Order: sequence, then structure tokens, then C-alpha cells
Amino acid sequence: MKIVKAEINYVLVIVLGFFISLTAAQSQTHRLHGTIKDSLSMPLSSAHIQIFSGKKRTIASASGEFILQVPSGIIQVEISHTGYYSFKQEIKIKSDTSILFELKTKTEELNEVIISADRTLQSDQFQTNRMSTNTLSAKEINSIPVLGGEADLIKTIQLLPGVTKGADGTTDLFVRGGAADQNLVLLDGAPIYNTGHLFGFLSVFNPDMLDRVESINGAFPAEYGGRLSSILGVGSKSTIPSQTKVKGNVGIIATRLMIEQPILKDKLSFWVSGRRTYIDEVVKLIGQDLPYFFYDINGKIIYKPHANAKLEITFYEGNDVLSFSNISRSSLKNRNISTDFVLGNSSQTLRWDRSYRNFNSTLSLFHTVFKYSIKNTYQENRLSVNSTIEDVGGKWMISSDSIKKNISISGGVEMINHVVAPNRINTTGEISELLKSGSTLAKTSLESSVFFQVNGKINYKLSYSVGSRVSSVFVDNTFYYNPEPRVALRYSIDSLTAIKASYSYMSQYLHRVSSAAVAFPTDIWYPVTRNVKPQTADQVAIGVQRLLPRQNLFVSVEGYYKWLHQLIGYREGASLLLNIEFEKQLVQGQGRAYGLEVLIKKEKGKLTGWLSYTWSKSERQYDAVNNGEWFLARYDRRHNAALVLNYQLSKKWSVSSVFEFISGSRFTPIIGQYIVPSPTLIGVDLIPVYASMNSVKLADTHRLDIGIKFRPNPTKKFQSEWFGGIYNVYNRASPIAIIITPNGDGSFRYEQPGLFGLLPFVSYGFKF
Amino acid sequence: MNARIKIYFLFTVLILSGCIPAPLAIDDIAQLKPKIVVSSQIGPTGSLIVLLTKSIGALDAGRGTDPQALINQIAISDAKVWLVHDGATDSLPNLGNGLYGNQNLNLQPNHDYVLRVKTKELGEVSAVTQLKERIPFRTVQATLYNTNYDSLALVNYSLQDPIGPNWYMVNVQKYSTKNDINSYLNPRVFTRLVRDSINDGKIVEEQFKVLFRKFSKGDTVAVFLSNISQEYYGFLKLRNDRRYNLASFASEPLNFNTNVKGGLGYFNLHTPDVRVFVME
Repeated sequence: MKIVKAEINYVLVIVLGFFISLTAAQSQTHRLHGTIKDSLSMPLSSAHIQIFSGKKRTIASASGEFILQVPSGIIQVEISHTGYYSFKQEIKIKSDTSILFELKTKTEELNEVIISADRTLQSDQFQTNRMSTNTLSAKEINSIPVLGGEADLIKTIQLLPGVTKGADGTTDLFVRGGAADQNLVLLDGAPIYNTGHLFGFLSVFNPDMLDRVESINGAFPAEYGGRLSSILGVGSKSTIPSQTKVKGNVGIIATRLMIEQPILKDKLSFWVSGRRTYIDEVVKLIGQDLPYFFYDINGKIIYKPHANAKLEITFYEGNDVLSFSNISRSSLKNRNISTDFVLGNSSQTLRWDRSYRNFNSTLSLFHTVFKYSIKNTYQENRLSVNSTIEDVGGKWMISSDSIKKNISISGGVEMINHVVAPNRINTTGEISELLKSGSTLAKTSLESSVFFQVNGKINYKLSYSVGSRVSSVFVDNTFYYNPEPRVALRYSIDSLTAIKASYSYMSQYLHRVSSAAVAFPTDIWYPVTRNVKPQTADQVAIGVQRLLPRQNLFVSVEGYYKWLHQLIGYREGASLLLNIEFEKQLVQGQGRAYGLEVLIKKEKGKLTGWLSYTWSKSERQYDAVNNGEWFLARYDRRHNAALVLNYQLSKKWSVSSVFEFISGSRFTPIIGQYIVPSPTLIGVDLIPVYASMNSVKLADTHRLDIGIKFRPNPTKKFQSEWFGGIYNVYNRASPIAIIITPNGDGSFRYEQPGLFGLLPFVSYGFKF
Repeated sequence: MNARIKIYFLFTVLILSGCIPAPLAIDDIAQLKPKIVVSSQIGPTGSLIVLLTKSIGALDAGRGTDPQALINQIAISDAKVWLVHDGATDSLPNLGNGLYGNQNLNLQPNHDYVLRVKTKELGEVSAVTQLKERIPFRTVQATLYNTNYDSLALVNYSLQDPIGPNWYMVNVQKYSTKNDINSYLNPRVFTRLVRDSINDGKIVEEQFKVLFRKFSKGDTVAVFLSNISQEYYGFLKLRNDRRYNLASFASEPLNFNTNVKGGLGYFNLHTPDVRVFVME
């Protein structure tokens, strides 16, 4: 037995010795000393270094250096830093090694901040001269709970700093104290005039087709103009898929389907996407009529004849249709009552990108129409209203980064011809005594602009973008023009902190004629005239951006001041709906807005989301309004905060939430009344007395939305997901007005009604 | 319809309707400080009657309020009222219920009149206006106008416009035994406003339908014509525009103009021509 034991011990010693020696051989390590710099030899602190073979990670020091013990042999190194292309390479390690890594900046490319669904981060803005720009990914847009569960680009943008929303649920944006019509919304480069379905409660952008989104609220690049407050650029998908892709979603509001189809490998493909409400069809099943629906159709053809050229042809059409004519309710037919209402946008664009040795060229042509038609019949009265705005335009831009080291230039021309035919009203019957047939004078206005911009670096700390846009419009035999200088500066304190400042001047030659309180889908757009001058704005902004790589956080703090000139407003008592002589109701004055915006955003990891906070003030002054005194703008909302969180519990489950707090908007309530005898002395009329303009603040709005997403088969080819949640969990009203309500005992009280309370939602999506 | 569709429909309706959130209360809105409100009317005999009331808060009256009780509540009964014209000053004694009047005034067309009001509680106000020349109907007729769905009144009238700019108010009032107390508050008198800009010095003649009211055979209808001042015309036009506005809730807020310095309402002097018809 002892012999056996001794043999066993001997074998164990040998085996143990073998493994120890093997481990020792494997663990023979060397010192890898790395220095990471950018193309200007500036050390890049906080770059992420990962050694795959040893599963080692570290972060570069303030001097851009790191030291790691790595095993001998071939190792795979990946170095990444926000705003730079990642470096990934295999390196053979035989002994202690020192290597200089140089990362190529994305700065030049990011001068156009293109926000891609899957690859661009808000933090990428850090390395650029751009500021005041909000970015969102399609994933973010699709993951947060919103009204009705239908992912909504504009509702999501309303949760970002600098953006205030109007009445609850609507798609109006009020950016940095501006008005709702001061935002240029572009779909693949074509202006979209009506951004809302369901009378404004849902945006017209089908979330399936979203690819690139940029919301620029200040520091406008010279290529953009036409509105005072923001540019919201929405780009649809523009990649050629390798195989057929199908994507769909069934929600409580609408159903969507998208098909991407390659035709020639890597050269030619198309996609088509559709969305439609179906509540009308559901209601039909129980024998009832709800004669309303909306639909969107988007499509694109993508052609890449070779690596340096790309052609895209895009189509969009979306309509809201309300038609009582086709329903069978006899009570309406017997009384000869019907309403037909069709409202919609359509746009077509052609974009041709071409790269040459030293420069790139982009030519865009577009055609866009927004129109509506209302036909009302009430007994022997008939009212029809038609309104149209049709644009044809083009933009040609060339850019080059090879003129001189560290300098890139861009320039181009843009022309848009607007044909506006608003408020064509026809009435017959008794209503014609009240509302005469007639129309607002149709107008044609030609806007044209030339622009150029230079981006460069003075040294490794200071970079700049300087440019100008000269815009003009020809309308009513009147010519207006405005030079629009643009400057943006970036000063790098260290590789993680940058100070940015900007100045921009903007002009606007087209405005929406709308109530200051409520926007209607039927609001019309109208150009400047001989009497109504262009609106202009100066804006300065200064901010600090900082990256916190350990926490994957991007932090931005910005302050801005905006002066608005020749700002369009409305006379006291103005009534604009179906008013063909609305120009008499317009007044022009001035405005000022200033504020501070904070954004803390986490875009990587299991927990993603952002915290945004805006303090702002926005004021107006018109000689003919409020006795000529300054007053707060209708949507001056002093504090505006949002906390958006999305947590990936597992591959299959994720949860999300939105908490929003916004100071109440301003309102002009009735504060008194008096009586005057009626002209025939048969009774008395009660005449209201209003408070001074916008002098009362509505109650603050706060709301919590929650959602949970389940993906039963995340790794399979056919993937599906269920998304459910609750909008406005604790059912709090978001006030839209102050009204006077009877108590029932002859007394009265003020109250503030809201529109949307607790609203559960569920949707089912799939793709393969 | 099968059960699954029913369930789906009910679920959809439930989700779409959601819960309507309870409106939020608000109780810190500063109310209007009371002001003197002036109204005036010339009687058929040339007497002048001025109604003085005070303004009230937004929550003090509304739909359903008894107009007589309201007038009793807000009538100003302690005021001193004078009419100053052509260097003379006439006092207007208190007639009760906020009414002040004098039937011994020698009011002359195209003369300016100043109304002065002094109260203990609300201070003083004044207003100036011009008595407009009385313009009677040249012809006037009110008849029933029946359509397939409605029964309206059709008014034909003409007047001889004097040379110079003039502004007219034509009112139509139906008198019915069915009038209840509510109809005296905001009675929605039909008022048609006419300018003579294209008919200066000529015969103004037109026909109009009285909309949004139902007339029947046997109804008594009074048609009033008054030559009014340009300012009062503007005041009435604003009120008319807002009354018939198709979307008044979306209109910009408006405080009506007044010619009462330090107060509200309108001091105007015009002498109406009234004709009464029984609808046939």
C-alpha cells in the first residue's frame, strides 16, 4: 500500500510540476507602454485600451499614456476615444515594448453632425466646433414610452434641452424662446410644413424609416437658414441592404410595415414603408362609423454606381382624412350634413453625392406640397376651403478638406420657389351672409441663398468655423436680403473638456398664420410682403462640454441669448381662422430670449438615458399689444426638466421611463366683467375683461411614463418584441388653459383642464 | 362579430379614451379692481338715460345669473352725474337702479357732450361723445323667410345717407312670450353694422337675413336704425366679429376699447328709429 501511495505521490508531483511550468510559461509577461495622440500630436487622455487576449482594460492618463502587462506572443489591441476612429490591431510582443498610437479624428466628418440610427452619439459632438445640437438615435426614439405607444421623433426631441412643447400632446416645438413656426423641418432635405397627424397629436415621421436626425438650435452652419430658431433635419434610411429585410409594428394607434429590397448587390436597392391607422376599420366591424384615418407612405431608391457616387430618390406622402360623406348614418344624410376634410404633405427629393479627388459635391432637388381641403355641408349651407403651399427648390454644396492642412471649406447655393394659395373660400346658403366667398391673394416668392464656411484649427487647442450666408427673397416686386454671419469657436482645455462659443444670424421669409395659443393643422403659411418684413434673429451661445469616460457620460452646459427682430405677432382680438385678410391682423415687434441648458447623457452600458434641464425666459414686445409693454411669451416655461432612462435587464427584457417637469405656460385669463345694455335694451351683455397679456402662469406640468419591452427571440433571424407601458402613470392633467366653470350653486370657479391622462399602450413589432 | 373582435374593440376604446385627468384648481388669479361702467341711451322723447354700474370679478356672474339681481348688486346709486355741453352743465338725477337721467335736455345733433361722474367709492370718470343726427328708415320691411330647414326673418330697408362719413347700426329684436330670465343676459341681439363709404350722400338700400334665430308666424319683431359714432361703430364691430367668430376659443384675448376715461363701457348719443312688425 505504501508503495502504491508513493507512486501516486510521484505522479501527482510530476503532473503538478507540468502544470506549474506550463502556467509559468504562459504567464511570461512584458510591459507594454503606449502613448496615444491625435493627428496634431495632442495627447489623448482617457482613451479606452483593451487587450483582448488577456482581457485587460485600462484608460490612458492625462498625458495619453498607459502601461499594461501583456503576455508574450500576438495580442489584439483596441483603442477607442469619442470623436476618433477606433484603432484595432494585432501586435507581436516579444519583450517590453513602447508604441505610439495615433488616432484619426472624426472632426472633419463631424462638421456635418449626422446622427445615425446606430452609430452616432451625442458625445461625438464634443470633438467638433458644433454646439446647441441635439442628437438622438433610432434606438432611443423607439425605446421610450410615449403617447399611444407610437414611437415619435418630435415627442422625443421635446425631452431635450432648449426645446419646449406647446399644448399637451401636440407636435409643436418652441426652441430657445422662439415661435412654433420658426423651426425648419426637413425630410431628406425637403421642407415639411405640417408635422402632425391626428390633428397634431402624432408626428408624421414613421419611426421605421428614420436614419439620421439632427436638431440644431444654435451655432447654425452656414448651409442652413430660412428659420430663426431651429433646423430639424430628418434623414431616412440610406444604406443598401445585403438581403431582403422586413420590419413591422402593430400598435393601438397605427400599424406599420417596411420592406428593404436589394436589387443589384451593393449598388441598387429600394425600400418602402407604410403606416396607417385602422381604428375606422375596427369600428366598422361593430356597425359603427368613425370616418377618420391617416396614412404615410415613404419610399427610397438608392443607387451607388461606384464607390464615389450615390444617388437617392425619396418619396413621401401622408394624409389625414376625415370624411362623413361616405358613412351611412341616415340621421346625417336626412339632414344633409356632411364634412370632408383632407390634409396632407407630399415630397419628392433627389440627392446626388459625388466625391472627387479633392472635393465632394452634393446636389439636392426637391418638390414639396402641403395642402388641405375642407368641404362642409349643413342643410342648404355649403362651405369649402382650400389651401396650398408648393415648393420647388434645390441646393448644391461642395466641400473640400484638401485646400490646406487643418482647413476645410464648404460652400454652395440654394433656391426655393414658394407658391402659396391660401384660404380659397367658397360659401353658399345662409352662411355666405356670415362668411363671404373669397381668397387671400396667392403669392409666389423666390428665396435664394449663397453660403460658404471655413473650418480650421489655429493650434491644437483652438479651432473655428467661420462662414456666412447671404439670403434673399423676391416677392411682391419687393426684394429683401440679409447677410447672415456665422461663427463657432472651440477651445480645448484638455482632452476631456472643451469650451465652445458661437454667434449666428438668421432670417425668415415665410411664417405660419396661427393663433399664438393654439396651432391648427389648417394654419396657413404665407411669405413676407411689401408690408410684412422678414423676421431676423441674432443668437450668441457659450458652453462647456465634458466627457466622463469612466462613467460613459457626456455633460454639456450652455447659455444663450437671442434677440428677435421684426417678430410677427397678432393684434389683440385677432381672429385668424378663415380670415382672408389676415395681414391686417399682423403686427411686428421684437423679442428676447435667454436661458441655460444642461444635458447629462449616458449612451453606453446597460443603463442609458439622459437628464436635461433648461432654465429660460422668453419675452415679446409689440407697440399694438399690451399697451406696448414687454410681456412673457405664451410658451415661456421657466423650468423644463426631463429624466429619460432605459435599462437593459437581460437580452430579452428592458424597462424604460420618462419623467418630465415643465413650468406652466403663460395664459391670459378673464379676470373681470361688466355689463352693457344690449343695443335694443332687451337685456344686458356681459363683457369680459382680460388680464394683461400672458400674465398668469398655468400650473406646472409633471408626468411619469413607464414602459417594458420583451424580446422573446433576440438572437434568431425572426425577431419580435412586445412593448407595453403607461403614459402619465399618476394621471395628472397638463393644463392647456384656464376656464371658468359653474359650481352648480350659482357660483363659479377657475379650473385648468388637461387633455391626456393615464393612457396604457401596447405594441407588437417584428423584423426579419 | 365574433367575441375576439368585441374584446379587441373594447380594449382599443378603453386604451384610446384613457382616463380624463381631473382639472387642476387655481385660486390665485388677481381679480379686476372695480371700475365705473358707463352706458347711455337717448329715449324717444329726447331724454338721456345713463346707466352706471361697477365692474365685477370674473367669477361673480355667468351663465344662469339673474340679470336683475346682478344689476341690483352692481348698480351705483351714490354718484353725481353731469352733462357738460356748449358751456352749460346739466345734472342727471338718480332715477334708481343705477339709472341717471334728465328729460329736459336740449340735445343738438353734431354737438359734443361731456359726461362727468363722481362717486365716493370708485372716484371720478368722464367721457366725451357727439350726438349724431337721427337718420330714419326711408323704407323698411321684415318678413318671414322659410327654407327647407329654417325659418328666418328677411329684412329689407333703405335710408337716405347725408353727405359725409356715417356709420349705422341696424338691430333686429324678436319679442316672444317664451323669453325666460336667461335670455336677458347676453340676449344675442342681431346687429348689422353698415358704413356709407360707397354710398355717401346716396340712398343706402339692402336686404339681409337674420341668422341663427327661428321666427314664426305671429312673432313681433322690432327693427332699429341708429346713426352712431365711428368709435362706437368700432366697439360694436369688435364685439360682432368675436360673437360670430367660427373659432372664438382660438382668438387672441381682447379688452374692448372704451371712451370712458378711468372707467369702462361706452358713452354714446344716438337716437334710434324703431319700426315694429308682426311676422306673417
